[in-house]
Amino acid sequence: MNRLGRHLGVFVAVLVVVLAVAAVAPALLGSSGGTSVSGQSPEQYQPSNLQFEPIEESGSITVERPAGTKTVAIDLAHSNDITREDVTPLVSALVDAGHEVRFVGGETSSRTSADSEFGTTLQDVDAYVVAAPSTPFTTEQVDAVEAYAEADGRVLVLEDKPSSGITSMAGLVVSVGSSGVESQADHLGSRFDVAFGTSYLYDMTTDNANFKAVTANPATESGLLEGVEEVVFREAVPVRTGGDADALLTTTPSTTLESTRESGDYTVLARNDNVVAVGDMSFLSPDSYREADNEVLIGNLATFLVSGEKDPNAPSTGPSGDRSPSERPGPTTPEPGDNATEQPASETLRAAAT
Amino acid sequence: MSTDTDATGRSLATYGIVVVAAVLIGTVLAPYAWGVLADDGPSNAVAVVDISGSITTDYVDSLRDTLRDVRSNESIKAVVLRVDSPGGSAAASESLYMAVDKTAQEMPVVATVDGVSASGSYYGIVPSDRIFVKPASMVGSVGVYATVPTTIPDGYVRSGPDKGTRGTVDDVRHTVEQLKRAFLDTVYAHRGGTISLDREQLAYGNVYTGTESVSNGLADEIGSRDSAIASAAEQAGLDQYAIVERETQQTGIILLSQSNGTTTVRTRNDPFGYRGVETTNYLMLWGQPANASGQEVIGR
Repeated sequence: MNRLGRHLGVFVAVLVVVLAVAAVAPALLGSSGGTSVSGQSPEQYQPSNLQFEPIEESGSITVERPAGTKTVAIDLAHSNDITREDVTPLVSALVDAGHEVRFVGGETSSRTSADSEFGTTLQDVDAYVVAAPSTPFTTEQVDAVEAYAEADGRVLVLEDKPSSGITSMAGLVVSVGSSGVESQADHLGSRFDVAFGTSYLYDMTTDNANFKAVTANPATESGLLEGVEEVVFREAVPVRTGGDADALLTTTPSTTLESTRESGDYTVLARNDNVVAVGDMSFLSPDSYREADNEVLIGNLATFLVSGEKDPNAPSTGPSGDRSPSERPGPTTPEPGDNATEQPASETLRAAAT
Repeated sequence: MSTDTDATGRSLATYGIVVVAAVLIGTVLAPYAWGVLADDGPSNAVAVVDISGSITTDYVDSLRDTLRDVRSNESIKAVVLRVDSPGGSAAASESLYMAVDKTAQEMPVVATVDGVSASGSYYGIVPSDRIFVKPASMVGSVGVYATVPTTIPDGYVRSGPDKGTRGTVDDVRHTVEQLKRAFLDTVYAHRGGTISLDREQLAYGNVYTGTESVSNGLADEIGSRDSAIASAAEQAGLDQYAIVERETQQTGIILLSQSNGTTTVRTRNDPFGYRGVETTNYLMLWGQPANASGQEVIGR
């Protein structure tokens, strides 16, 4: 009996030790049991599923070389929401074709150019480009632009994303919102019969670019659209046209206006004689100017700008303004101590300078 | 003498047999003993895992560990994800998705949206077998945007034009489109049979109320947290079960500091980036990070 008891005792003792070790081991050893993991690579994450061909970029800007050197002024005097880099492709193409580009106004000018100086500026140049100004044009400036255009001066007006558009064209071109015309008094827009929308366009069916990339095609035949089949605007707003303006570029039907969520063909480029209005500036930028036929359109716009034969005395600036271009002073460099606010800054780019 | 030796030998042999038998039996019983201390829950349990606040890499690392523990615990038969999050970084959201998807392949996973499950957090719960919402829950915001440092300071000498950046704006747009495609494809891979919104509508990135999300298929049912737990248990075939809470600490978001006996809680300024380094951030987020000012936003 004692022997059996001892055997039983040994059995129990050994069993307890084994089980105790088994029970305590996890606590002592932690994760000594190890683990086994398997990775994941979901099918929808595979590169073959996610890669896509972006909008093709090719070509270069070609500008015709009409007789003589023309001067194009790019407005920076109205707190314009652009940088020089934004318009580099257009500027380079004009300069390469032997023309001059003059930036008028800019950071050194703390206020809008005086009306007489504005008129003088227009007298000196053959084409005037204004993009996304954020300070309004005065009545005198609007009158000067109208007289300038009537005298065969070429005007290119650009506007894009709404953040810079609601007040920017006040005085020059009417801005309209989804509920109708927002700004009506004292506008040249009614004279040019063009107006910019204040809400951006997008296209959710675009499968190879951001939804803000809208595609536009010629709505009619025009020399301004020669060679253009399709352009891509990435910050477009609609351009509304009246009876005297022609809609030249319209978007594809799947394009939608953000404010109303209505889809349709929206005009994004219109022309009224010597005035061209474009509801986008992104196509001029170094990032986008070679997408689709953007470079062809830019070349055509540049040719348009340098193809006018403006009356050198237009617009009139009053008794002191009736001077021939040769009699007028060129851009002046402020002397030390000059008050920069009295003289709008300007910079001229010529082919020789490049 | 010989008899004593024989007796001793037999006795040792007997003890040896007894020891061997005890070891063998102990070995058989060892797994049960092992489980006594290793198993920290009831035999049948539904785990409730919180997903709350911003989805960041650090946070998802913790969530991934939590879900791995849940999967390795034999007593846990189903998981309920309790969600209240506006999303976060794109990479962290994708990691969360894969961790939840992995779990859903092994056991029922049911999500319940307390307040918001938008963008990256919706991405994370989309593999769930069912999604419960309340009428005021906000669900959706399927999409991505990028915040891009606007300038490279003067004086940097770089080895290439794209060094230190994500390249051109076009490059960032391209990436945004790729991430959007992956997000959309993932939603349709898991809920394509229930979502009534077409790809174009979903890509708008809108959020929907709980009621709307049940109608359009982004969610399944109106219900409470307990509804989700009951649903998870039912899918796991459990009649009686314990509910175990698995909390995951938000790391990198909330900073606590104590001085003079008071505790100050503040939010880290740059929850989605890298401290001291401004980079392009791709966000799957409903809302804007507090530090987004001064950066260009692409994709909205």
